Amino acid sequence: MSHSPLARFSAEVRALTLDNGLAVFTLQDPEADVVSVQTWIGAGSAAEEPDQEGAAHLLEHLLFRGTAAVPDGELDRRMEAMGASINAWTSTDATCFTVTAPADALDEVLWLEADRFAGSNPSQEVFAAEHEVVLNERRAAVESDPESQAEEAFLTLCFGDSPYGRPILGRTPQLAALREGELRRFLLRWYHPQNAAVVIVGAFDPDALQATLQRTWGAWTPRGAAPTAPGWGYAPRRRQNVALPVASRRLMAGWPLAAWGSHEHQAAWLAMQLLVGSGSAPITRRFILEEALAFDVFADAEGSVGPGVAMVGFTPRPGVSLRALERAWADELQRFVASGPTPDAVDEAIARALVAEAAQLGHSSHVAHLIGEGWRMGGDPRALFAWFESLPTLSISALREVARPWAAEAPWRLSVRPLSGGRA
Amino acid sequence: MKRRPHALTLAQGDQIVVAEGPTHGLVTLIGSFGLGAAEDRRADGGTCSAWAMTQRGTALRSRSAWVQAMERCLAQFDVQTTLSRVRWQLRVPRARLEAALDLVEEAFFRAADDPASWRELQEDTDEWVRQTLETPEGALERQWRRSLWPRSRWGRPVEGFARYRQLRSARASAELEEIRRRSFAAPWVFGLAAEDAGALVPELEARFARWRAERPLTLSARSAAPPVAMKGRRSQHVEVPWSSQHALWVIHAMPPASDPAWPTYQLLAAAFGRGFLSPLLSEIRGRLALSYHVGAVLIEGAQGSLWSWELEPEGDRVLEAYDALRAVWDAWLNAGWDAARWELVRRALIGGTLVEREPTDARLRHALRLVDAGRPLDAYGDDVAAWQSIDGEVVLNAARNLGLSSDHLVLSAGREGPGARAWEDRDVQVARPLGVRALR
Repeated sequence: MSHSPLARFSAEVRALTLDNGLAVFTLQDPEADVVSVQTWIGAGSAAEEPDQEGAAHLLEHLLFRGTAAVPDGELDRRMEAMGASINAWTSTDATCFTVTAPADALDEVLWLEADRFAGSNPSQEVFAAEHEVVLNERRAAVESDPESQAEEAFLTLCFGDSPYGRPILGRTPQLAALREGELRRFLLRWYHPQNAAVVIVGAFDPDALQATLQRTWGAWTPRGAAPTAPGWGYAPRRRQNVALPVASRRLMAGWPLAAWGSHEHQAAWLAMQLLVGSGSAPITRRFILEEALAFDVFADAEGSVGPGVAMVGFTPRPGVSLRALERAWADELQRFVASGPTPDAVDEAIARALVAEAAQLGHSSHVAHLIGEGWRMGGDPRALFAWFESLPTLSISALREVARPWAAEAPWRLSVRPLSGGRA
Repeated sequence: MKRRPHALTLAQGDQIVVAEGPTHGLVTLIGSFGLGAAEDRRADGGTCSAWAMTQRGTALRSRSAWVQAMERCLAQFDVQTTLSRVRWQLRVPRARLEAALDLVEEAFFRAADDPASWRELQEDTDEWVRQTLETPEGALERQWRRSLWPRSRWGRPVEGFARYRQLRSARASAELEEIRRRSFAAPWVFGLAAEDAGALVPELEARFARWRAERPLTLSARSAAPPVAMKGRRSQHVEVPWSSQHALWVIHAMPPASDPAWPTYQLLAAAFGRGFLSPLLSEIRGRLALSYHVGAVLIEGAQGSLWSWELEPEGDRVLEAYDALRAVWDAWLNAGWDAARWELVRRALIGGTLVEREPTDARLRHALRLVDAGRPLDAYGDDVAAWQSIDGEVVLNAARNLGLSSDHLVLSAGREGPGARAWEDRDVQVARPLGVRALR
């Protein structure tokens, strides 16, 4: 492992802190033609207060829409005119702004990025237009897509009305009611240097970079330590049946999952890989490849800054009941807990995870993402590299133990059936 | 541009495109056979399913055993059928390439052919199609070829239609070999991305020669006639009753990618396509807030290329969106841009291309696209030089001559279409609306 590409990248990450408290992480690749710059804000939709639902994502949009120095529309145009690929995304725990550009554009990219965080100033007209655009995005991404509706229903089932239970884009009525003042409050509370990190990966001159960073990002006014996000909790145990215009019946089941970075979370992630994550995993092998019980099996134990949900879902084949799938799942889990995976199976699952990562390392933006995600999850830019590196230290007994609750009935269970008459 | 891919001709006569560069110990190998689903005589998805069966086990081992063997190689393997070709891709650590290729070989030449595997494949395909039709975009994705080229083999979905797929399953064994033989009989193009790609070529050459010996090159000609170019303005609506949001596509025919003016069209797409420089984004999304998704894309295709405007307005704003698209386009053609703005577009396209081709396997895929489009591999990187020399006025003139305002197909999907009368007012001939059931 010590010679793996991930270990090499981890060793080459450099960290510095500007005078205003902004963390900057760099990884130089002199052979690269391009450079990736990512700005991470340590707050996403889970940091919203009840009357701010949808604010984190709408604010992400508005950060593209003008400052005192760069009028609305100019940021995108100037970035694109340099050949930069520019985007952003919002999760429950973070908001990330990404730019990948030809290496010679770095100075201007840094200036433009720093300017929009220090001086975002959208007009009322721009707010109104972008508000409508985001409502349109929600209608397209969720209200026209029954799969997304099922996912939303499942999250609400697990987390109720706490921040992790609300959709990142916000529910339509709450999003429609969102006021500009709430956005400004969210911006002032979360968007400042002590709650942000800038990641730069690719081709750059390290000697010149520090002065450029101080000249650009150094102008962002500090506002003290990052505040604490609102509290949250799990919803009570509950089973729910919903009818949606989906093609087929499906079942989604969830169990509590420890916070990212904990030993328990890492074990849960690997246990889920061993159970569902490949054709060699017993659930996939039995359900899909050998007994043809289900069209698909999906699982998620990625986790978040706060505790999350380990989720598994099935789409049964015709003639197979959801109950039969649940019984088969429980059988396999009991076997896994009783005898555990073989050491070879564990080694193979870890090797597959590392190969999947290696396949992405040709993108400087992916390497920047690994660094930023590590910072967001634990304050350490090398945390995600270390996380992969330490997978082989997990014991088989830890994997068996973490999966034990999954053999019992899930506290949250959502059954989705096709809407009768709603679709052909 | 660094590390330019190059092509070699293998001993058995097929071509291999080679991209060298950092891959972190992995090898990407792509095989492309030059005949696809358009060669199917019936709309039964025969070619697609024959190739999908290569992932359902072999005469030597069950599907489960084959998948597990491939996973022990830490390999990812996938086969995709399009209308014009069959393409497979293998990504594997360098040290396990040979073992993984043994498994690929076993799948290609000794694929499963039992009734149970066929039945499962058909059920999986039916389910996949049903899931595709859950959203308006999925419905249009499945419908557009059929509306554009009715009664042509190029108008059929690659997987065929449900009622014919059942027939296909019933006579699978009899035709499986013939379909694979036909695909194999076409010229092959391979692609290879690796740190030491050059050193790997002789090893691969020996293996591919063995494959070719099993399926000799017969240069079978395409039997599917090219589709007839679209004329006039037509519209079709797909009823997706649970979606108030619509998908709206406006599709125009374009010359093929081998056309000498192709770099001009690429520059046109950079100016007026998906990017932030395009007035589409600033007007349709930024000012009118008609749609979050908006853009125009240039789609390379063996049967001729296409220009497609795509957006997702609310159901009661479909006509407003259509009118806005045309108004923005016409205004742009009339007003044009100054030289400085065109220089921005050129820089955007050139810089964006550099970013897009950052990983070694992305450079390989781009080189293979050139070969697929019938352009010489020598053209790799030449597009950048061409864009630098094309004047903005040339692009505008090309845009005016394309007739994008006259002949086009309007496709919408959502709860209710705007109604025939509304389209007729816009001189658009309306075809019978379809429901998603018809698209299976």
